[in-house]
Amino acid sequence: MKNAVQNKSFHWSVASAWLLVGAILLFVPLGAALDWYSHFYINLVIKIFIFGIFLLGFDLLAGYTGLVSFGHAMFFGLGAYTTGLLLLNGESLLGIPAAVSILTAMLLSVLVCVLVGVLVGFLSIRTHGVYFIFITLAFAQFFHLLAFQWVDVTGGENGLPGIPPSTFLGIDQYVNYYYFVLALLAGCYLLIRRIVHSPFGRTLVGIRENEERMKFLGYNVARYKWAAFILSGAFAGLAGALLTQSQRYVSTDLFEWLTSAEVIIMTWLGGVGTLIGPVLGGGIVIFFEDFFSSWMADNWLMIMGFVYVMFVLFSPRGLIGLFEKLKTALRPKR
Amino acid sequence: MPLTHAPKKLTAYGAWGMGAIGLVALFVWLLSAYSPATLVTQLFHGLITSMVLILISSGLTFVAGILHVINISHGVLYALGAFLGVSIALAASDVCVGSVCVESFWFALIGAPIGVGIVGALLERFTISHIYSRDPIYSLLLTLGLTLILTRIIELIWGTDPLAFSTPAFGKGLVNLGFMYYPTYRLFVLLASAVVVAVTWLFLRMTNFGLIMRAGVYDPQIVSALGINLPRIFTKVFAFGAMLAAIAGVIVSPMRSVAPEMGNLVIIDAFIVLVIGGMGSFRGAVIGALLLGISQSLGALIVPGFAQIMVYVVMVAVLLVRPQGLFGEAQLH
Repeated sequence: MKNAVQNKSFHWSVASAWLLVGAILLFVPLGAALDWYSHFYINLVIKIFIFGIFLLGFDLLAGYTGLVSFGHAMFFGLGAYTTGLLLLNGESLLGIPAAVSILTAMLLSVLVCVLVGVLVGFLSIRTHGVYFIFITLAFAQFFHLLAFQWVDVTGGENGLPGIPPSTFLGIDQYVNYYYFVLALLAGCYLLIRRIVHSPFGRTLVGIRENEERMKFLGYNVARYKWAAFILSGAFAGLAGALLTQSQRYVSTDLFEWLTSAEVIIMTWLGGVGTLIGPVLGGGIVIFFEDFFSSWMADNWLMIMGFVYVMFVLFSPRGLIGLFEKLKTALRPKR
Repeated sequence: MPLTHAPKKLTAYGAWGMGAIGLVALFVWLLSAYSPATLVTQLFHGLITSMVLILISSGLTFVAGILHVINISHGVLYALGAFLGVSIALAASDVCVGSVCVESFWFALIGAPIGVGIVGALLERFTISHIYSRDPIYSLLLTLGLTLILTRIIELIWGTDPLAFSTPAFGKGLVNLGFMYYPTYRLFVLLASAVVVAVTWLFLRMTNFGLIMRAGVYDPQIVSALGINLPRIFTKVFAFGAMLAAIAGVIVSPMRSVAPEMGNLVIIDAFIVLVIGGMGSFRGAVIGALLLGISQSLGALIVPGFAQIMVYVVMVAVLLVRPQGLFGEAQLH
């Protein structure tokens, strides 16, 4: 009985923390309206949200299924390019009204990523561990090359500049877009949390912990891994689509292996396999990238690398792991 | 395990043989379509790429096979070798005894690998050796961070602009091969790297250290139970791999520009070589690099601009037939 009571109070503290975070996030644009800080920061937070969606999907694959993809930039880039092309040509070529073009673009981006995920996933999940890392990396490099060389469609080195933003619900205004992306992030979080706690999600964790045993229990392990790969890619594609709408240009950088590496760093810095950790890690990396790079140029990369190395060496479960250690240390001993 | 070993070898040789037959068939077709001089030039370019890649990926493959470490920072060690080489070549002057002169290039070729070997040993001692007990994924994460730090350190010391490394005097000009002319320095790179690869192979075959290294790929626990100080061997293996990368860095710099990001470009190719050849196998690194270099250079002839795609086609084909690479051990995860 005592345990149950403790659990209940624990839930209350979590709920109030969520309420607080939600309230703060809802009022971020207000600060800019009152001139407490520049509008630029709203765009920065939008970028953090977009990476949050990317990282949630990545955590499903890396954290819960134990498949570390080193090529997730391919889905991010594919989503961004698909959306870029659709926003540029959708109205003239396909007759899609600008007002709803972002919805079509999001749908199409996810669809493209699912298709690519089906194909790449089928080939990739045949490999294990380190080989999986490299085959995904190679596939991402393949798309990077394609973006570079297929100049007629992708614009090659120049990328796709001057993409007209969609006007759906007034999201060409940054404040409206802020709430739009925030709602999507919240939706994605709830969806992924539901997936993770479903029988399907528990099976993925089982595969991460002991693939052989899951096989003996009669699970079609390959199919589960395939599904996780496709799902995870779909979220990355959605994030790519959202990024195009706010940045209004697409470049081949998105496909670069450093983008995939950055996502891995964010995930492990925050705490892999915790959903909230990677989003937190992404927020911290993006915020400090902006904060430090303005007054110490590229040196922030070195500091970032150093902090990250320290985390890998001393706190393998990232910030969330550190937080949990702190909580156990501070808890009064019985 | 003699029983399991024999069929595995057969498949490996089968794949090798099929690859060789494919290459010969391709070459015959190419001969009918292009002039011999173009073909041989292209083949030489491919061989040079392959030789340099062997030097880089053999270090990676030892570290991956023996230490189970995926060392992303290997590319930066290669770049560091090139930068140290430039500095040494500029700082040192040519030493002449009578009429025989030793160019400063040679000091760079000896000094840079030693310097990079020390850096490698320190990296292993202070960071990488702490995560051997963990999943190999963590080594990738750790060396990713090290890459960020080392790249920035190189940029702080040498600046972000590419440097030029002048071709040493002995390598200037062209050599007449009878039916065509070829740059002397490129020929030197081809021969020098072939010598280093041969010496490395002899080293692995003939010395006690090489024996321990090869045994370490199969079963580190037994090696350690036989009374061998594994941590010290590990440091040496890591430093040895770093030195090979630095040699590659120095000898390619007169052909390509020396830039901080040169490591990022080459590391991907090196990993593809490992995936094709199999982790931990020196022979795999050699065959993988040859496949990659030659398919790249011939690909440039057939489909200009998309040469790199040939590499991925080869890689996916190999992984579909043998997910652990041509010469890889299946148990390495």
